[in-house]
Amino acid sequence: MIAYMSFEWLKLTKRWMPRIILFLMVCLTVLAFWGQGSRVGNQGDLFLPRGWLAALIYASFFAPFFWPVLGGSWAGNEYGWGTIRMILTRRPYRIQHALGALSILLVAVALALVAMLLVGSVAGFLVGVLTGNGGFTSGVLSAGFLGTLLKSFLAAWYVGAFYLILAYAAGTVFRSAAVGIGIGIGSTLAEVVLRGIFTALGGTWRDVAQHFPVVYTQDMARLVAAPQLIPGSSMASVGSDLPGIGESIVLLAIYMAILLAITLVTLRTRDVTA
Amino acid sequence: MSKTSEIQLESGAEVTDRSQNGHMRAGTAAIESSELTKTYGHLVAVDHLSLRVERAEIFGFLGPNGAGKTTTMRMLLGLVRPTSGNARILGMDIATHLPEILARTGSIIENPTFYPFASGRDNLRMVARLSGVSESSIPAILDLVDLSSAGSKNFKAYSLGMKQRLAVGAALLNEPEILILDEPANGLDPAGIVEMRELMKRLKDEGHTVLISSHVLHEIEQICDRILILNHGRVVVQGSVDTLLGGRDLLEVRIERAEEAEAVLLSVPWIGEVTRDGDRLLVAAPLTRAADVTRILAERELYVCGLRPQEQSLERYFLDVTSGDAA
Repeated sequence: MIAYMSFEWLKLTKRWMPRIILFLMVCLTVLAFWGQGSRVGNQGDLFLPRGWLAALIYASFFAPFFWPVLGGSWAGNEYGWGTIRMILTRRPYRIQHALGALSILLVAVALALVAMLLVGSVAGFLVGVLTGNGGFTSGVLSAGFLGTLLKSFLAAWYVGAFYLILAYAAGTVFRSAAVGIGIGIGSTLAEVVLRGIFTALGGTWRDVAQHFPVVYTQDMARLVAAPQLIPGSSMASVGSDLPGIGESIVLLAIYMAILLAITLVTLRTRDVTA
Repeated sequence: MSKTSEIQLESGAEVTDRSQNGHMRAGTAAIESSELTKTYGHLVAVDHLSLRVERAEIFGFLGPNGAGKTTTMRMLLGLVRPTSGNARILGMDIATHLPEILARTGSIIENPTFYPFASGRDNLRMVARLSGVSESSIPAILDLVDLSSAGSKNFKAYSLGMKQRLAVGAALLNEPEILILDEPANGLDPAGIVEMRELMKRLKDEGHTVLISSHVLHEIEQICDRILILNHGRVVVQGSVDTLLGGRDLLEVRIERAEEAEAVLLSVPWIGEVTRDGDRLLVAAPLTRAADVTRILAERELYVCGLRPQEQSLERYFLDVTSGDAA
């Protein structure tokens, strides 16, 4: 397992794609701070230290679009390039190979969130200073705030992990980066459309739609951060019909376990003909 | 086709299994398979393949495209699971000891596969990490495969020959006892092919075992101790190169009374098939006995006008034994 992780880490440091994803996330977070900061009355949650929570909420919002690119291409490209042969003819533990790759990718998600916090620090400071509210709002930072910040970080990471694993599973099953990324991103869009239709149909359909993964991922970070955001602000406002945090954690864990099981069983049993 | 080859083809069995000193080798084989079979639905890719590769020999694995060579190599390396049968490498069963086997094996399967975004050197670093070996040998490996100056270049910018050489380097990184090489000469220029030949010979001299598949039959003929020819997943023939080709040397005899000469030669026990075409006879006989052929004919007052040896090449032999089966 360590050998696989060492190998995947070296690969991560050499590949441009994670850096491009990070760059795009940074750009979008800056734009989000700029857009939100331009609207009088909605700026309060951007000032530090709340700006850190805002950065994590934005990162979580972008998760369905960025992490599938990483997960899907990571798994699918091994088949496209044929490097799966290179890996498994050196070290044939297929389960360890997948778990090693996913471990490093999950570390990459965490590192990206740390980068988002740094971006949030700079952007929040600038928004505060430029709007005449100072670089740091005093009286907000407390042990309770730090606890919420940590939980928000973990929530954003958890949501990122779900989309990463979803696309990794699709990339592995279909042996294609394009399909992995497509299913990873497309499933969210499809869920949103289907959810609308099912909700309109009502009854059992509506109940089914309430358990789509997107229901659990879309506002998880915001739900966790809400107690430390300005009460009544647009960022702190969440729908009343959203599932609780505990339920979201459990259901997403079940979804991830199913996706992981599909990935591992596929890898374990299938011939490598790529 | 000669009488000898017909027997070989019918049985699909080994013609001979002798080392250079003429004795059967004993002990554990480097690679051994028994009734190895792989089917995909109704398609039988490999059909009850039994082979034995001795230690420190270069074994040529030949066959037309789609014969089952790569599938067999994939099975030996654990990429593809056999439908039935089994194989042992270095005395260990591939079904139960694959990690230990791969730690002592280097391989190239089909085209070289590396990460296009990384340099040749970084790709070797990745292989080293996977194999659990030190990265300190990478400069020497790059030097060995003549890629020292291109080590920092991205793999995607490599020519096919450079990619192939990097693959050979990666296969040698863990100092393997066995090399399983699928078309290692693909894309190499003539100088590269010669270098590859020398490398194979050197590896053999150092005690490595090499299982090699290639369509460059001239090279196979020069470097392999023994070969196996596969067609439609089945063994057509296997044996030592010398024996397979040596038994098929032809003498081209030009003589006036060819029909009488044919009858005389067919009665000689050490002469195989005789084919007549006008005043020309093709006589399956060892080239060293050309003088005996002329003497036997002269004793019957049949005088040879011309005599020319036709040495059998592996290429010709390969086409002979696979073309009849191709339909």
